[in-house]
Amino acid sequence: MSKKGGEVTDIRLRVQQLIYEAIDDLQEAGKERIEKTPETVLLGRSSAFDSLKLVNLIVAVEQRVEEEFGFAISAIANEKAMSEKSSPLRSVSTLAEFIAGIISEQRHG
Amino acid sequence: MVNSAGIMLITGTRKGIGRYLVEHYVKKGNRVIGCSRQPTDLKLDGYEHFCLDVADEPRVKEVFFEIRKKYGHLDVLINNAGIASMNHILLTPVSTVTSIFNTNVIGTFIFCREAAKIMKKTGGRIVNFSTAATPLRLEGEAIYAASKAAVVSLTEILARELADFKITVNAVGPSPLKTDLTRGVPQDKMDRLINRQAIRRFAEFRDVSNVIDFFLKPESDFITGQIVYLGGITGS
Repeated sequence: MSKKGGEVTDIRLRVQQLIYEAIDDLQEAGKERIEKTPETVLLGRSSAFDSLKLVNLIVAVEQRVEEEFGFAISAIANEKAMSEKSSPLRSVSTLAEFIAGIISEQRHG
Repeated sequence: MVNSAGIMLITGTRKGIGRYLVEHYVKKGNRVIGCSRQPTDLKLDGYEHFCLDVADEPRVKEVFFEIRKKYGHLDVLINNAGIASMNHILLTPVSTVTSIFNTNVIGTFIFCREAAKIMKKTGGRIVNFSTAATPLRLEGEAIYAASKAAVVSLTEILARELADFKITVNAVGPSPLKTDLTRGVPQDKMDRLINRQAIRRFAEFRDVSNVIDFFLKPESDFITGQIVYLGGITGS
């Protein structure tokens, strides 16, 4: 694996952890716990997130990522984000990969 | 907001009404953050200034990141930055349209979005700027009025989208003020314009801050999606 490829993998794993932490913050007392795995579905009918909860999750992830990496990242929710088929919000792992790509791109210009 | 000192962000603060609002709210004990494209000579305890173009998304996000790191919250956003260009549509280049919409609509949108991300935990108040030119359908101001009509729609819809976060979104629509925006308008045109108001005088800066003060009062937490025009002009 190239040096840059390895870096993206490290970032992706860290971002995945930040997504789990953001999900923890959204868990409501007394309600069924939202599962935290790379395959956890974020968008669509089988998602445990209603639209408002998903908005809250995305903003919480964006803020955690910015705090962790120390710079403002470009908006996560772009035109692609709400299309169920190709959206980076399909699952925790696709979102982590998407954000890792943004971070790597911004770091390396 | 905002019983006592709050953190406020005001755009377009180098001169005119924006500068007045900085002085007004610093005097009330708030911590005010302002911005403009050019540096400011305004130095006040309780005021800090960023140089940016409000439509420059990456730069605006950087500034919000700084605000979040430094203060952790934001109570008030006042989207004052705006530009106008008065011309007949047959003589209006697309570059003017782009420039006006970038500042007035896209700038307002980016600031609302980024402010709401910070405000959503604790609630907040957003005040946008419309203009009397929109309900008066002023000839020669098609693009400016259209851009502010977009701000009206943005305000009304964001009021609904952000209500669950206890963020109110309102707008003030000044009638003519003596600022850079109206300096180039011929006197007879200004007179005709003012004669269409119920109360026939130029607006003062204090008329604008009075409406904003109302939107920011703690008791105004049930006031959202409202556009308040000055001088007796009514929206439609």
